[in-house]
Amino acid sequence: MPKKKAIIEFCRVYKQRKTAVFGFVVVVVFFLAAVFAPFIAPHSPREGSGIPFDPPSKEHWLGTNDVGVDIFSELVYSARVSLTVGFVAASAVVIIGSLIGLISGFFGGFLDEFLMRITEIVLVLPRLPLMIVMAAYLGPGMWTIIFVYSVVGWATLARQVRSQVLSVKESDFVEASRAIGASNSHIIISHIMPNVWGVIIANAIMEVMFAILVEAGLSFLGLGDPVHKSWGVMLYFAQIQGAFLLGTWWWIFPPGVCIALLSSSFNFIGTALNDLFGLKLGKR
Amino acid sequence: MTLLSVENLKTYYSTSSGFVKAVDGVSFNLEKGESLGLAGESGCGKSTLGFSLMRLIKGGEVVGGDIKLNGMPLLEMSDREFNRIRWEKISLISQAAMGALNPVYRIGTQIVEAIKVHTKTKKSEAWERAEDLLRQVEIDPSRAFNYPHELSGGMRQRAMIAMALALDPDLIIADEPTTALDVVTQVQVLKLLRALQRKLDVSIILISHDLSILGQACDRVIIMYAGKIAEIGNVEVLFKNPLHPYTQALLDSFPDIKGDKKPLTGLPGSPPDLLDPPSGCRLHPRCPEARNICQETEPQIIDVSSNHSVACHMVDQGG
Amino acid sequence: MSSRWLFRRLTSGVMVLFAAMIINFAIPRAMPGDPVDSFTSGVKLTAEARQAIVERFGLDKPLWVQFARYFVNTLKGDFGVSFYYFPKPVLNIMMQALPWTLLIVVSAMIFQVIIGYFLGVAAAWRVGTRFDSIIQTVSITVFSSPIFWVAMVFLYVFGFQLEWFPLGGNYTAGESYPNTFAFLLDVMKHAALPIATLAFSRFAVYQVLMRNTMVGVLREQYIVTAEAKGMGQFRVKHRHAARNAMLPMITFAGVSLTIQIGGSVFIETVFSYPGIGKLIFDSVISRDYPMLQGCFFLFSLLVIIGTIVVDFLYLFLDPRIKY
Repeated sequence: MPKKKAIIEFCRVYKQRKTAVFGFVVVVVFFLAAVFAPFIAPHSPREGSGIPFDPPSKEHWLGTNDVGVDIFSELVYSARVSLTVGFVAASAVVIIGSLIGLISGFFGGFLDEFLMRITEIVLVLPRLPLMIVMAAYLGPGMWTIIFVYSVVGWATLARQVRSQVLSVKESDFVEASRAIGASNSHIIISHIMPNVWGVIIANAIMEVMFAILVEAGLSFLGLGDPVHKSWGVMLYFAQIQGAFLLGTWWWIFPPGVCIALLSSSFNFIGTALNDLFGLKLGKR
Repeated sequence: MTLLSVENLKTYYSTSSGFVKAVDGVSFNLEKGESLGLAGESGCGKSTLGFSLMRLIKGGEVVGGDIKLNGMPLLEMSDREFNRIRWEKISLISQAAMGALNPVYRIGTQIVEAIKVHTKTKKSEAWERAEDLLRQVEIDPSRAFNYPHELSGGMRQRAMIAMALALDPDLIIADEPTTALDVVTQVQVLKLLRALQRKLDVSIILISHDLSILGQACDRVIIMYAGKIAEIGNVEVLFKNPLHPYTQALLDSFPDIKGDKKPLTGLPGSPPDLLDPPSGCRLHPRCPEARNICQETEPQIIDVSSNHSVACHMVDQGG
Repeated sequence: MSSRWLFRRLTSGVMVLFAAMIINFAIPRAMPGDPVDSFTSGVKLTAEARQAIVERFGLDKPLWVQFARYFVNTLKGDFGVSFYYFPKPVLNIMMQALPWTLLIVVSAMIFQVIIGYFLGVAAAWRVGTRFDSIIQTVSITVFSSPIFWVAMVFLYVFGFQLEWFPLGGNYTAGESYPNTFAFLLDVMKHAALPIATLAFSRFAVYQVLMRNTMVGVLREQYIVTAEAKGMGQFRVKHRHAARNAMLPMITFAGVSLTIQIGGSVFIETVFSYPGIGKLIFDSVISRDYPMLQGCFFLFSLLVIIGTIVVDFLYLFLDPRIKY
């Protein structure tokens, strides 16, 4: 099937899934909000622009927090942190995981044995406590979170890529390429990769979702950057200031809704891609 | 005495592109104690026909016709009523070697379940009955405590037969009961089935793509093609003197020695798409003897003798 | 059960524990700067206190001596002394907190499995229908919502606004109870919201697992046999199909138990519930490193126990399994 036709067919099937379309729209909206935050946010996301604990009003759409900062403005700027962490951490995980899976599956032997042992240990070790221990030593901040997530997050993908590589490696066309003396890099680029990228892309989207949730979680535990606040950090402050004991619901609800919306959107997209690629892979 | 009568039965599967007419106007009678074979290539509707009798069609439904068991109209019953017919009156033997037994329950438990759900038997009595049934199919009763995966394929198939006999049904539908077994085991299982069928005077509908199996175990055979009956007759008559070109082709492709199947050498092409079957006689695009009339009108089933009927224009016209 | 299987299980368990020890040992020592600072997060210390820490961890000795000492201590269950609860040993404090966490997590898991089971079975039975897609959408949305936020919303609505449940803690402090029953009732009242949050937030995975496996099982031959046997719909669904389809869910439950004990940090923080999760949060805030490392090791141990328990459960649930 020619590429263009394949893409059109893909879009047609994708569009039939309402949740996937919804997810795509939400991601685009949040992305635009992050990029154009200075134009959208009516107030400063860091300095007070009103009285503390002001409920939602015309001036402050979502009210203010304990030091009078406009919550809507904070929310818009926070999209930057969440999306950055989501994409950077997911990219790191995807690159590490794919490389390890590719190397392990393609070269096999002792290297494979060694890498898969490590993968197994990383998979079994309790992820969240490990991330917390590492982050606590490294000190709070966005890059800490990206780092610890990259360290523990790659193992699942590595395994999947490896098994996909293994199944392709045994196929006739790879054997044939070998027989005519093709180089390893040629085989990887023109035979292995085209069969692995579906697995990688569908997983990459899911990794973004997990990264966003992990960022929110670690930030909520006080491991996020207290200056460039993410939604998780906002909820951390709401929590330690006892926001719900003060009845300031406008401080609690919006950040959580944003996290839930964004991460479930990536989940919808990822699920759809998984199904679509799964269908395609099954037909081969 | 007629046990089962099927009148103009139609079972269609609905798909996004229309109805697949898997069984399209089939009529036949089954006598008490008779063993009837259903033959044809895969996709000819023989299994659909068998499952229609038990109302086990998934993704489709019986859209027309009439099924009477001992005069009771089966299609008009509610699901609840029909659940009592199932296994008490009609039971099923399917490919136990291929997973027709539940892997997480003991053989005995599965037989006892059938007894307990349908009758008010005490648990200990039901177990005794299960062991007795296993004895009848020549399995050591202690095997009742085994799980399916602990038995060989042949034994599993026997256990399935034992389970099918649990409630003394009037009719057993056996769907490819020996397909996954090796040849020696096939023969043993078939002999057992035939012996029990005669001993207990139960009727059987045996569904198979393999005519040699039907030849061994049936009194009468129905040849189906593309959802319709092509020919129906006593085993000896049908095998010796097949009248329908399709039956002839099937018998021609018969393996000389039991073993590898030969392809249908006599007929070119493949079975038709049942979404949009050919006009007239459904075989005409593949039939070497097709004439104009075969394209235009559908042949009716006519009796050639008291125990032999066929649906073919060639016979109709005395050819 | 073969000795080979037992050997493999044990070696992989030992390997994971060893990895956890190495991580615990390496992290503070891999940090740049004075090692004493990474052990105390740079808190200003008197010369004696500094010396005490150097001696305690043998920081002036070669690395392998340090590791040998650490290794032996860990095996003895000596995870050091908490900074925050100085001078109480880490182990004692963890053991006081663990039962409360287990109470919440295990009860919540029972609900998760039950909800997941019934929704999954119902969705699989009607696979591809509107009902199915609604269940799947709701599951994904709930799964993607941060659990601590769900906890905050639950606390705000049911604790603060409706006042149905207490706002935090494990029982009412300073209350004198007329009998044990009254005490237990109070404990249940305090545990109710944390359990509800955890059950609600995490039923989705069970549901999805149950549904997907069940969809496959419903295509099996033995389901046709069960229907042919005249079993009612309920029996076919639960006794024949679901019984086979629940195996992956059980596996996941074993893994999930330890994940959720780790995840209790969010729930317990919001509900100020004095379990091991709250302990972790407090330790993060107060930079109580020995405590964090102790918790990490404890969780690694729980993971291994969890997988072994699941293996044994499987022996009972799936007669085809032989180790």
